[in-house]
Amino acid sequence: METKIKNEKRSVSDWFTSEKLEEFRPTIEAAAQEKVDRLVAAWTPEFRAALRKLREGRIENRS
Amino acid sequence: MNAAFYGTDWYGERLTFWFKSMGRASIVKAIMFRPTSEPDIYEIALGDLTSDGLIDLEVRSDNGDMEEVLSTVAKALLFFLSDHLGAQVVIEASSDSRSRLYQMAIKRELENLGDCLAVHGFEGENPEVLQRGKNYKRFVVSLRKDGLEF
Repeated sequence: METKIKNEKRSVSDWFTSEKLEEFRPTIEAAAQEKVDRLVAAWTPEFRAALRKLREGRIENRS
Repeated sequence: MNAAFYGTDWYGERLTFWFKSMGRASIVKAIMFRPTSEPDIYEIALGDLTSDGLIDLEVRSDNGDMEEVLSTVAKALLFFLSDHLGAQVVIEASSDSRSRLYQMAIKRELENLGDCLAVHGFEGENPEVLQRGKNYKRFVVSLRKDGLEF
């Protein structure tokens, strides 16, 4: 098991490069945007109004 | 108390961050701040990246390092907000257990950064100050207007 994890770590290091990530970025950002668009589509008018009110009023919060 | 967190790389206007989660396995994770149809409002998305360039945005890694991952997301959120001063970030919990995790992480960050951050929870349609024992479906985080001089 330990060997397997070590191998996985090594293999991640092999491909986790700036160049590779830059290559992947458009695809994964598009996937994220798709998910976000689905979530936002479910926002109710009341929730949107509350967000605007928060932005405009900046209701204070000191939890 | 400050929790340990992973170092991140970012691209563009700090909209996408990457880091390696080093728990039971080594997993590359991406944190993305995506615009919404509402001006200056972003949603945060977190996912696991595979070596063929795909991302799983629904995965539960169970990698044994949840504290570090959440702390890393919080740091990325701060970086993002420091570059997008008027932005609000919506965090949506996919389950009650996720909601509790997010709330614990937010509370922890507020202990350190409460003067800089405004955080509201949404149980229904109206925002409120976070209260213990409640399972908020959504959280909205922004920089406090009077806390920008840090």
